[in-house]
Amino acid sequence: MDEEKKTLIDLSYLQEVASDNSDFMIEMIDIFLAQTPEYVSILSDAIDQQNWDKIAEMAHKIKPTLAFMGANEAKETIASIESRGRAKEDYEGIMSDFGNLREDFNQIFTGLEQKRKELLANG
Amino acid sequence: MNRLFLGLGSNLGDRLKNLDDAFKAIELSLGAIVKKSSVYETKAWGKNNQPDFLNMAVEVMTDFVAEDVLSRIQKIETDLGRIRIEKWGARTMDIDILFFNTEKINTNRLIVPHPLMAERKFVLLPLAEIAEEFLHPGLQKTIAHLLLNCKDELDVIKLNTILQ
Repeated sequence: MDEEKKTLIDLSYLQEVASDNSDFMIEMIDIFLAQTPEYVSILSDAIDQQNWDKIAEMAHKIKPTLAFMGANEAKETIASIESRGRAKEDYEGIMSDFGNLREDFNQIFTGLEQKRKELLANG
Repeated sequence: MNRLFLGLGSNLGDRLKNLDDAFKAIELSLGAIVKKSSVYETKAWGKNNQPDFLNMAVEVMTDFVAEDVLSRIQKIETDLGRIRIEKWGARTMDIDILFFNTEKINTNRLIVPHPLMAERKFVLLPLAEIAEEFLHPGLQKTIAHLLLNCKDELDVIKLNTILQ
């Protein structure tokens, strides 16, 4: 892949929400890191099992949390997986989109661990 | 002394002045405001042909019990000219009790914590600014947790205006 590495997270919105309070930002990142990997793993199982309701439910849960981390591209994809899950359609497309998204999620989690370290060091 | 969190909203008339008037009335009638969030602007909820709301959250130390706080708040709303024409209509001043200490209250007049707060970004954003670690006594989650997971899609924008 010679594609330029995408910026998957942007904490400027969180920074604004937290009024630059780094404890608040760290707390939001901690909550995100505590729950989202698990949600993604449940979503992955739901997709494997073609459990439409569970796909829609988990995508719906993951969606708002991504907005706070400025992961807008991932949020769009998750929103689209949610609506296809609700409509019970395009299973192939969901599988393929989620396949691409998995790697993005790993990068989002790693990126946030890094940001968290920086905030702790500077806080 | 009781720890009271209030949500304030106004979408009629001079909205900033209404908030300012509400602070003065709260301090006179209930007790000292110890924390005050920024002012947030929110699209009117439930109806969209209305002026946008300004929302805030404040923390108040009060000697009054919850039922008395409610009566005093209703008097402040009336004094500031709240017009109860339609349920989701425009209002000069809307004041909600979000938390009263860590109590869970459910009477004919009053439900605390405010039942819809976890679903409303315009409540959670200002509240998180002054109490992000406060634990919701019913849901047993912090305000930061509720905010991160809030599915409300309305735009809530923090204004640069500072109210003293």
